[in-house]
This record gives sequence, structure tokens and C-alpha cells, in this order.
Amino acid sequence: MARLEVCNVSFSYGDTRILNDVSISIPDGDFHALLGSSGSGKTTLLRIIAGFLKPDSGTILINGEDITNVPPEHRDIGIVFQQYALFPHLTIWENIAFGLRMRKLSKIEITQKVAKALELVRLEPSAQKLPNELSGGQKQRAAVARALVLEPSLLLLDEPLSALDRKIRGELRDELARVHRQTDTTALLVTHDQEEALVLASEIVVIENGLVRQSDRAENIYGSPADLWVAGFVGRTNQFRSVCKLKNGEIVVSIANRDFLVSGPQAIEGNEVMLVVRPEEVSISSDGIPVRVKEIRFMGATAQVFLTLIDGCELESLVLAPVARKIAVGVETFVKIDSSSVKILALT
Amino acid sequence: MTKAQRIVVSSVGLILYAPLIVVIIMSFNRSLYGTFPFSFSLKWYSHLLKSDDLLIASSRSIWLSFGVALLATTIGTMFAVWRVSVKSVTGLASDGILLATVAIPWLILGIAMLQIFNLIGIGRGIVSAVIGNVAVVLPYVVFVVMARLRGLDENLIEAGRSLGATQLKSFCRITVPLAMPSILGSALLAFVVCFNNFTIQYFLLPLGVRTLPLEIYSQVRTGYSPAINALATVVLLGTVLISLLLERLGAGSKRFRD
Repeated sequence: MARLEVCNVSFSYGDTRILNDVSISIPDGDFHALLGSSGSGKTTLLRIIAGFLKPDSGTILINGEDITNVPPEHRDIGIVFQQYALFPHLTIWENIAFGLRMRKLSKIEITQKVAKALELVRLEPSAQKLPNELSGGQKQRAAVARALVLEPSLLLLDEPLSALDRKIRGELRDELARVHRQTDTTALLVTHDQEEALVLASEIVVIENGLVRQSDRAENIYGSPADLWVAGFVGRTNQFRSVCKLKNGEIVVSIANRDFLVSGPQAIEGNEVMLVVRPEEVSISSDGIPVRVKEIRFMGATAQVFLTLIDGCELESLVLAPVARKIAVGVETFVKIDSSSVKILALT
Repeated sequence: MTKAQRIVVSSVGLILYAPLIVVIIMSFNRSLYGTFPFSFSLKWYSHLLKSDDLLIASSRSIWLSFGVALLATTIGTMFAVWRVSVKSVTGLASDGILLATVAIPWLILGIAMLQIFNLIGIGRGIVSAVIGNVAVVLPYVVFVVMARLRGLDENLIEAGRSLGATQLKSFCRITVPLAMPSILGSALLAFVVCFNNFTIQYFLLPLGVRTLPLEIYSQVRTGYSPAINALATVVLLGTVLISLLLERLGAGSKRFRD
């Protein structure tokens, strides 16, 4: 249990700047996610926090104590790797006991703690198996147990679900959430999967090209993206260019010749802005903005409906499958967009 | 397996093993000149037991090869560990030097080493022979162990560090056990290469001190005795036993299969 602070960390590899003045902070017991595409610098930051890399500048603090120069084995940080990194020559039991043995705990203590850890991840029946006798999901659960058995002050999860197939990924995601609730360990998840980050983390740090683009509560990252890049990276968007106009004393923007009331720092008369509307905020209706259905893609419970506006602009709508079944490609219909769902962002 | 594959595999097997089978059969054949009809006899084995020269030479060969394998495996493993951590030109240069010892004919290496040892005043001797043989088998050890170390997941070491193991401890508890099959394998390879190495031993051992290859050579010059077939059969049996033992000891254990 601990508080993690990363202060103004920069890191370069040769001439390439990987991290640029990155600062993040995780309160005690919180689960945060570091979300970024590959090459964004997120794994480098994880390795710096873990102690495998030294930052060029900046500090890493745990509970206010500077650990920037502490070797990894003395940092009290547990790590779960993408490819599990279980020791193939040791049984699951021995894998979990490894860290306890390094700390020279008594045999009785080791036995008790390993048993508890195995129970936490429901792997008791596989204790005496070797890692390669386990499925991917079981391996990752063993890796989580191995990291948590030491009760580390911080748990780092490096794309822990990426190597698993979709169904197992969902199960293990729920399992991670449950384990976090039970242990209250401060955790940092590094991932490129927005869904994983949104479901697991209470707060998300979006990182791109070594820069923190936005750091906010998970629902705000999706609901109020800081800029166009974050909006496009987290979830799907409809984007329209518009100019803010003054009408009846209020600032409005227009999509397909319809005016929408907007507010916020970008809502200044004459300001050219980008409007972002999430597909699920575009509802198919019997009146409103006229559109023509261009394509329908069913995805099980939901369907993506691609529409064309009168001015030729394209619009995407996400609706429940039964709604999409009532319309067909080529049909003319209407959509409704609520003013409150139009996000107004600066042009980049 | 298709029919063609079966033919290829069995002919390769035949080419590899036929001479060995002939030697084994001849070691039990009474005829002095290796002629048929076959008549079973253990007389060459009793000759072998009475032939002090062959027995002494065998034990010399075993001890020399054992010592050389031990030294080469230790030095070679350390070298391989260093090599995988080095990405600069130094690493490439060291690869080149090691490869050269494999590529340059042992004949030339042997003469060159003898000249050097004479120059620095050691001359022929057990020490020279050990140094020379270690130098020749070292690349085998380094390349075998290096291949395994390269294949190890770096995350394993990092996982070990994050679990509280120091650099040295993660090396001893993770790297060494995982590389053990290849370390043992390379030791066996070093042993066999040294055991066989007539050329280097011919140049570097003191005159009159004969290991098995030198002893067989000198005996074949004066007349071939089928006792050598018997010896070959014993050596073959020993090799097979060692391989089986290694398999049992863990090299082939499922713990090491990823």
C-alpha cells in the first residue's frame, strides 16, 4: 500500500526523446492506467518505475521517498508481464515462493503465504504443475499471485491481458478487478487497450510520443477528451469543422445546417473549432436531421450505422441491433443529436 | 513420413552407423584380420585388459578431456554470459576470434601453438596440451551456451529482480538452471572434441606421453590389433551411457522444455 509519484521524468534513447517531462501520481490503493499506442513511451515509463532504466532527469517517489536510484530488487514493486515471465524450471508453487525465499522467510510462513496467494487466484489445484502445463489465463493468474504474495507497495501490470484470447481476457480482467478490490494494492496498468483501461482503472493517463495528453478520471477521458487526439484515440468519433457564431446572445456551432448551443473555453465568437460527437450520441429517429443510410454493420448486440448527410458529410451512429434492423441501406431517415453531446475542441 | 523421406533418413542412418556396427561386430570376431566367417570370441577384450599401453592411454585421454571440458565449460560459460550482454564491436570481434579457432585447421593451430610455447619457454607439456585443447574447444562451448542465453526471455531476469533477487542471485537461480542443459551439453561436446583431438595433442604433449588417439596411431603404424575394436566398442558404450545419464539428470527433463 503506497502512493506513487512520478515527477518530471524525461528519458532519451540516443537522440530520440522517449519521455518528455512526464508526471503522474497514484494515491494509495488506487488503480490507474497508462494508456498509449505502441511507441508512446508507456513501457519505458513502466521500466523506469520498476528500476530497470534510469531516467535522464526527474524522480520516482513511493510514499514520498525518492527511489530513483534504488535497484529494482529493493523497490518493493511487483510486476506482471505481458508474456507471464514465469520461471519455466520451477513449479507454480515454487514460482510464487521465489520472492518469499529471496526474503528469507521461514518455511512455515512461506507455505502459508503461498497457499493464500494460490487461493486468491484460484490456482490451488495447479500448485505442483510447471508453467508450460498451464493455459495462458492460468499462467497470468499465477504471475499475479507471484507478484502479490510479497504484498508489494505497488503493482505494475505490463499489458497483462494482451497475450490472451478474447474470452479469457474478459474473465481475467474481471479477476484482476476482484483481486485489486480484495488486496487494495496501488496498481498501475500499462496498456494500449482502451476498454481494458476504462474497465479496470479509476483514472487514466493518456500518453503519446512521450507526452501526457490527458490525465483524468476514466469516464472523463471518454466523455470530455482534452483534445482531438485523445478523442480519436479513446473510442470512435464523428468530427465536424465549424465556426462559432453569436446568435441571440449565445454561442452556437452548426452541423448540417443545424445550430447547436455550446459552451466552454473554445466557445468564442469567430473561433474555428472541431466538433466531436460520439456515435452512440447519434440516435436514429423519425424527425431531425435528414440522412441516407450508407452501410449497416451488425456487431452482435449493437450495430454501426454509417450515414450520409445532405451536404455529403458522413456520420456514424451506434445503435442497438433491433433499431438497425428496422432500417436498410439506401433508406432515408432522420437522426437526432443532443446539444449536450457536442464536444467542442481546438483545431490541431 | 513419405516413402522418399524414409529412404533418405534410413540411408543417412546407415552411412552414420554402419562403420560403428562393423567395429562392434569385429570386436567380437575371432579373426585377426577382420575376415569372415564370424566366430564369436571375447579374446580381443581380454587382450585389451592385458594391454597396459591402451589402458594407460585411455585413462590419460579421459583425464585430459575431463580437465579440458571442465575448464572450457567454466571459462566458456562466463565468456558467453559476457558476450550476450555486449552489443558493441568488441563483441563482434570476439566472435571473429572464436570462429577463427574453428575455421583454422588444427594442424596449423597446433604448429603455431607449439612455436609460441617454445618461444615463451614452456615447450611441450601437460600444461601446454591443456591450454591448447581448451583454446580449441572453447568456441564450441561459447556458441552453444550463447545460443541458449540469447533464447532466454529477458523478462525472467527482470521478474527475478522485481521479486527481490540481486543480479547475482537471479543469475544463479534463473539463468544458470535454465542454461544448464546447454552447459552440460557443451561440456560433453568439449569432452568429445578434446578426446578426439589427435593433432593438437600430437604437437603439444610431451614426447612419449601418448593419449588414446596417439597410442592408436602408433599401434596402427606397426600393425593393427582388433583389440582396438574392443576398445572402440567400450568407448562407444561409455559415450552412450553418458548421454543417457545426462538425459536422466535433467538435460531432457520436461522442466527445461519451453
